[in-house]
Amino acid sequence: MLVWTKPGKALTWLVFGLVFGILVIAPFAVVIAAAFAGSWNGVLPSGPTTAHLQEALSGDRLASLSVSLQTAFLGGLLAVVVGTWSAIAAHNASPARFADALHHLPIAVPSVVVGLGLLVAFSRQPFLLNGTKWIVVIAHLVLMVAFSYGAVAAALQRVDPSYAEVAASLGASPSRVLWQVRLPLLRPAIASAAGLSVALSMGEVGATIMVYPASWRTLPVSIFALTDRGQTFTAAAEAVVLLTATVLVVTLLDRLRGRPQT
Amino acid sequence: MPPVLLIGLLVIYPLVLVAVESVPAWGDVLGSAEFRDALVRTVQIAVCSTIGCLVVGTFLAVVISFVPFPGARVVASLVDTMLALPSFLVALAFTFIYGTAGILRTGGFLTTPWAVVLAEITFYTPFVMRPLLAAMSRLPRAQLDVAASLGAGPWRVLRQVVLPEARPALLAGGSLTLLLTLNEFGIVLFLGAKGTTTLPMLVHTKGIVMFDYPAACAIAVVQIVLSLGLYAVLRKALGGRRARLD
Amino acid sequence: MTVQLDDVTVHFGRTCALESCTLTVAAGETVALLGPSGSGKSTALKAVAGFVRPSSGRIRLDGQDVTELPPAKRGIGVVVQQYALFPHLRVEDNVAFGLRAARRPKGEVTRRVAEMLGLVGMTSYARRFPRELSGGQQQRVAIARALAIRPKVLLLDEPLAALDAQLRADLLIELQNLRREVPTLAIIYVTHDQSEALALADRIAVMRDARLIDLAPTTTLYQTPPSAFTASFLGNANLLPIKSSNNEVTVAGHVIPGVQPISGKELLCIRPHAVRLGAGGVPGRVTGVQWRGASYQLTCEVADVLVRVDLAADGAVPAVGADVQLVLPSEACSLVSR
Repeated sequence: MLVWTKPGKALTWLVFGLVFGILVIAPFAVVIAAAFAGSWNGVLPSGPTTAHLQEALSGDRLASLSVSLQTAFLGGLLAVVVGTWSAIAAHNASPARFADALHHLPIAVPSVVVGLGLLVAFSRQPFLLNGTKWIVVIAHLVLMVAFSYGAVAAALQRVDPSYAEVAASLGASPSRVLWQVRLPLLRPAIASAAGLSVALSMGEVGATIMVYPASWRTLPVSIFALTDRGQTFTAAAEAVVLLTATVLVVTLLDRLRGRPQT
Repeated sequence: MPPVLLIGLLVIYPLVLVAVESVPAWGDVLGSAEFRDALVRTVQIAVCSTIGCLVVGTFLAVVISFVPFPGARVVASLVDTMLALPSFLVALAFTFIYGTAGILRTGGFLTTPWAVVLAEITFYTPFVMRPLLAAMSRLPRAQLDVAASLGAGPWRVLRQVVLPEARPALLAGGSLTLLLTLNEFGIVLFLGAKGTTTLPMLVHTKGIVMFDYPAACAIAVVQIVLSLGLYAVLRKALGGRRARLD
Repeated sequence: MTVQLDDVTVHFGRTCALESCTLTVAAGETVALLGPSGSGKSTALKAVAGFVRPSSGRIRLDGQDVTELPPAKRGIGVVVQQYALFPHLRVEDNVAFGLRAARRPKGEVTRRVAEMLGLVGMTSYARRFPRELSGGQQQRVAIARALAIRPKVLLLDEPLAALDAQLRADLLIELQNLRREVPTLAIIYVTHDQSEALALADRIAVMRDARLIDLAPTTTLYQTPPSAFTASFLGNANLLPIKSSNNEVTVAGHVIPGVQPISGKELLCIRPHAVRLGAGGVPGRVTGVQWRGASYQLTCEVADVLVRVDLAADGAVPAVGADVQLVLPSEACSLVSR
């Protein structure tokens, strides 16, 4: 198509392999390798061990995983509900641009700023939430809501309105149309938004680090604390735990998507 | 519209309070060298990272699309997956690669802004690749074939046939990356270099480490103006199409 | 320039898209590659252009092996089905693309572009963008662009397939004129439409299942098709099973006078317009009548086989269910193998 000669192709692929391998793949491979390494003083890690992983999965640290999972499910899934609801409401109302901008605002500014805002707003009356887990959950909800809103709003544009019209013409009440026609049609979009929300929530660090109380420390915060203290191998092991948990949860949620309907 | 009101409360109300809270600190913060340095650093890092992402992302996307190899589809789906991973993983990996006891033992490199730039290029290149891959898959293969039959070499085909068609995608991916790199926090936090304080980092330091809320809020306001200004430009640049951050 | 495919085989992964194709097209000659979709005709054309690499066999231009040469070095004009005009370039820049790639002097580029646009009658559209043109106009520009580089070989891949019937007829005439304007051009014309092949080609190569099955001058192929597939694909011929004995050929027990049996050929091929109704023919029953404006087409059942018969619209037309006798004139009959 573009490069026709064999040596030309070979050279292109070689450069591609180098760039992609070194720049994109290597960092992730290195974290995984470090999680199982006793020490890393040369080019390659040495002393293979599962000690770091065991530590990452022991008592106190396991609590972080539990906190992360709870936050991701609470915050992420609340975001899906609110985002879907908003998108449907905004689709019917006229000032959709305002709702669009409102929902995208939190991901257009740094997450640290979102965290600071929540910290300032919920450390005082009338909403005193600082020091509870709910401020963390709210932070995740606010940050993830854009993805559900965006995905559902885009899906609503694509879905043929005649389905809902036909259902209504058959005598279905508006709520019946919503639950039995519109939401099922949106299911693939909602499911993929849920997967993305949970995955991003599991890895969220900027807003969380601004608002988390000592009793509600997520995995990324715990990984940062380890890195900051120089315990990088344990940090790598926790990162592997984080990645594994994320992949498992996202795979599970992907099942909900069901077969694409034609 | 209860959900919209809820989000309004959770998004607008805090930001308004941030703006109110920031008022007393404006003079101090804007005049400080610390703030000006961080502002300049933030923009420098974001611009360098974005240029890097555009160059690397374009190259990778062109090879996947037009010099395909067995497994190219797997690579493309890998790129999609990476969008959902946390950015601090890259910074964590860098401590093993470039750290004092790591693979390359480049010692001081890790604490320079260039380490942040390299980490951001690693993490954000997929954000450039995704719209590019989509745009390139829409370009009819026959156009490349015909261009070649008319005597054009690979460079000419790339410059005169592929890039003109990929320009909107480049613009979209580039401005999104610029926005996200301006806002990036995880990588800077984890690399923790003293010399590379960016605005989000400064918000964190002032707010959490020094409990100076007004100063943190003032910096946050500057950052909001910067990000939203760019976001508005981004939406304009995409010609009425929604700026898809998601 | 002579184009030669010498035992060319093309594989895409495990599927074989073209098998042992051998074909020579002389300077000034037009050869049509005719076949249904997936028969390998486009693959053969792409192999000549250099877009796909043969897994074995050689491609030669004037005897010179170009198999390893990238398309940019072959100097072959290519026109594809969807035209592939560069959407961001104006018509004149599309036509100039190849000349600029060859770094021709500016004056020459301008002159040649004007000449080419004149040739295809698109001079007044030079400043337009492709999206502002109709399908037929885009196709003309694509042809001008391919001819601008003065190719010795022109490859046309289903150039009319995306156009409606009237435009197709108009462009067919223009392509015939083009052949006269550039008399030394070797043209390979890929199509699934027999009427295009009949109108343009000196010779027709019939393709089926990745193979070239029949190759002959156009009139020969039409009048005496060598195979049942070619007979039905080219001209929609009726194929009737025959019994041969004692120097006689019978269809449904009825002797066809003047037709001699040939061993191994078990089908009688006759075009719908050559069949006549009259006394002493093969008995059959009318099962369908379609009016086609200038003619009627009858479908008649003859011993479990449906036979199509074209009748002039001015004569009497039997009704559905009527018993008729089909006369098969020997000069219009040929025998083919199954």
